[in-house]
Amino acid sequence: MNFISFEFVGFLGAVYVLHWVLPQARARNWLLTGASYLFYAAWDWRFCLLMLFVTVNAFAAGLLVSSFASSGRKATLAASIGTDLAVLAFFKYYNFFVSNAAATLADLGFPGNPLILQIVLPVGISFYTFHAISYVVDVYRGKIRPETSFVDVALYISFFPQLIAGPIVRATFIMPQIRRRRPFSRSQQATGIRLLLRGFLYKAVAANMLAQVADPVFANVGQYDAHALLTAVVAFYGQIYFDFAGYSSMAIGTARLFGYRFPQNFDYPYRSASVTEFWRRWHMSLSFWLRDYLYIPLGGNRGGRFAVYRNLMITMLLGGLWHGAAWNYVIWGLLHGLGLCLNKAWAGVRPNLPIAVNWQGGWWRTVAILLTQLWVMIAWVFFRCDSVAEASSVLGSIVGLHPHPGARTAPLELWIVLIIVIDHMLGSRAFRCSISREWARALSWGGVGMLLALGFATMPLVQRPFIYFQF
Amino acid sequence: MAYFLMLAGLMVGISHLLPRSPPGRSSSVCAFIIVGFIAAQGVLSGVITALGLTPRGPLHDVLEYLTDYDGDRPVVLLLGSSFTQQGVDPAVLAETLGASGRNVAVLSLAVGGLSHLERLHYLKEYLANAKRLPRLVLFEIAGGYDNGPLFQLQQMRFSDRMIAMMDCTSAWWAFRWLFSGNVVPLTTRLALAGNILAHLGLHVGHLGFLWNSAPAKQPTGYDPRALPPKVQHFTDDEVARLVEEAAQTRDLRADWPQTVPTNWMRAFLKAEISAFHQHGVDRFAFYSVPSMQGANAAYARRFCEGFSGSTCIVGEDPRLLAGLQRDMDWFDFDHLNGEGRRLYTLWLGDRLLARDIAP
Repeated sequence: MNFISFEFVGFLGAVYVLHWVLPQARARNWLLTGASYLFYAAWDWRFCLLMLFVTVNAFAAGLLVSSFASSGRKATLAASIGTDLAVLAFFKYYNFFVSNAAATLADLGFPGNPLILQIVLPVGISFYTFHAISYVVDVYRGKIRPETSFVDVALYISFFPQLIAGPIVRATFIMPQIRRRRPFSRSQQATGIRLLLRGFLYKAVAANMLAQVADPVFANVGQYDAHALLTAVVAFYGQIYFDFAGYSSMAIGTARLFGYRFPQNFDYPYRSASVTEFWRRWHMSLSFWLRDYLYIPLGGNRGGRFAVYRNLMITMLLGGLWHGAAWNYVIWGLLHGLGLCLNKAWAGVRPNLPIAVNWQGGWWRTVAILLTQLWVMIAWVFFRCDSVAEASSVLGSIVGLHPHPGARTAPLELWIVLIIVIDHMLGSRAFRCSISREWARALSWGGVGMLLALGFATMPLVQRPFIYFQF
Repeated sequence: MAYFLMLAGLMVGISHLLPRSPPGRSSSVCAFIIVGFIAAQGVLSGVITALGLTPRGPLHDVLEYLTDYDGDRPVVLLLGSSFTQQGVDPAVLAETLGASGRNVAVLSLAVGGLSHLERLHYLKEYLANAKRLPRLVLFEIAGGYDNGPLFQLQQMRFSDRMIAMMDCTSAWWAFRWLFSGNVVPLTTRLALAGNILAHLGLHVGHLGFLWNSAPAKQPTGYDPRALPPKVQHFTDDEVARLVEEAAQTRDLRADWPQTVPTNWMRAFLKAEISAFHQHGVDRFAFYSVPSMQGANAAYARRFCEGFSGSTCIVGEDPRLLAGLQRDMDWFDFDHLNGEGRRLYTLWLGDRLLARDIAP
């Protein structure tokens, strides 16, 4: 059930009314849990059982971790996380590892027939397993008390706005909200509607338009000339931002309609002046999750320069693999890891330079933004292409390493960059206008209606699924 | 695309600039949203009319080709569906009539799956924008379309094409058919009623319209003679048998009303003819294209009996059918092809001349 579909509008409307009609927090939680399972069943009801299994595992581990002594606690934690990772590994990575292991053995002179299984990847599995891990680890660390209500844990793991593609909400953040009764608040509803509208414009209009530019070219890379490839790369750079930020905005807005507050997931990442800054602004819920549950346990910034670089590379490599079981995602992760290491190294070198320069402002920041975004864009090519070879061919053609004759497309790079600049310039600033409260209200809500009408008219009728739904 | 990207940038920008005022009373918030929505719809309607935008696709191309004709010869307009698109060659028909001194231009508003509702919708656009209005209009007779005007709506639900045609007039005719008797079971009727309203809402709300539209006058290079390649094959013996059986069929399909034409169809044709009258067009005739489905020929026969006062030509002449007995004459079970198309067009031209209806 895509967020931008009649089915979802009907589903959301029905759940919304029922939710606010029910007087008790308990009943609301039951309703939202049931609705979330219904939402998930719309893809494939069988995967509800898998999600239920992951939930039971987390719920039981939470109770056991709090009741055991030290060694038992650790074993329970390891078993629970191991189970979640095994589920993830089987559904997402089994074929990838088996086929690569077989290829490696064949290269070493041990050919064999690997057992490749026809496995359907359950949507959202990467997200709800991370939610489950987050819950158990937070209970283990004593940041939250173990939940005695199974429905509350089930709601945390399955809550439909964040079920398919996040944001990855921490148990410490959301469990207290689930436990208490949330009153109906008009200002929360207003924020929810604004976020939904923003997400709708990002996804239905901007991302889907850019997809019309990027998708045909990436579907037949060999048939287009180098300039068309460049246009498609720039279009995808915009598409993935508007797509995922749009989804996140709609998810956060939807949760807000039910009185839940989700953390911000995007903070205008294309104005980042370093890869480090980029990961503080892009898919923030994932990058903070990786930092807290992987990077820091690996040693984080402790243990010398090379240990830090190693931790960064491992974290980003696994972050890349989390997105998909393919080498191009691994390369994407490695490029970002390398970017983070270079940034760390530069931060160490910079104070010792013999010249005094304000690196944080003026032209230096502009140069840094351009370099960072170029790096990010190159990495997106690996993310978007079907293979490392295809991505290398695209990049090689764009920089002129080999001739690439083919069909041309309209040169739209500047228009695409302009949309991103408008969004980042206007969105990251707070504007004030000196008009009366009544006029501001009329302008605000009349504008919502107007943008809704314009968005409906401008969006392509056939809506593509959100990119991150495949992860 | 650049315009759309600009528009997208503008919308994203405006969304950031809207004041974050406290919501106030729910009723006033709803009222402001509705007013903003309606105002924007009004502006959109104005822009769409001013730019003459129509949805891209076969009908946009046909409309451009029809309205663009600006020659001196009087226009004969064919109104039909895939039967006509596949079965009548406008150039051959014009040549046939021209050889007898009727120097006309034959234009064809015939597209695969063109339901009556869609036909009326685009007919009005054509009449409003045509540089040369027709002097003679030839209506195709097709039992399937006459008795199932909402079949395409079910088949192409929520497609650009169905949303584009579902204006208030189409919805009115659709509802009129739906409640004109026991045409479909109650559950189907309710589902269709919901679909009609949903399509109407999407049409009025211009959903997806700008993205998939272009000015009707934008040249498209539409060629009414270009047809898809034949994919369905029969043996010549099979074709001969099927054509023979079709000619002998007297019964309509069981799910069609036995009254031909239905009251709905009469009223609908009256509305179409009235639209022509308003533009000074007053010469009409009906014709049916041969099909290997016997029910179609049976329907056309009864239709012509029902319109005995009008020129009505049923494609069931034994001499014509004798020439349509090879596989290569048929595109598929229902539609003519190649030489079959040419033969039928020549025959139709002769019949029009014999009835002295051509301008």
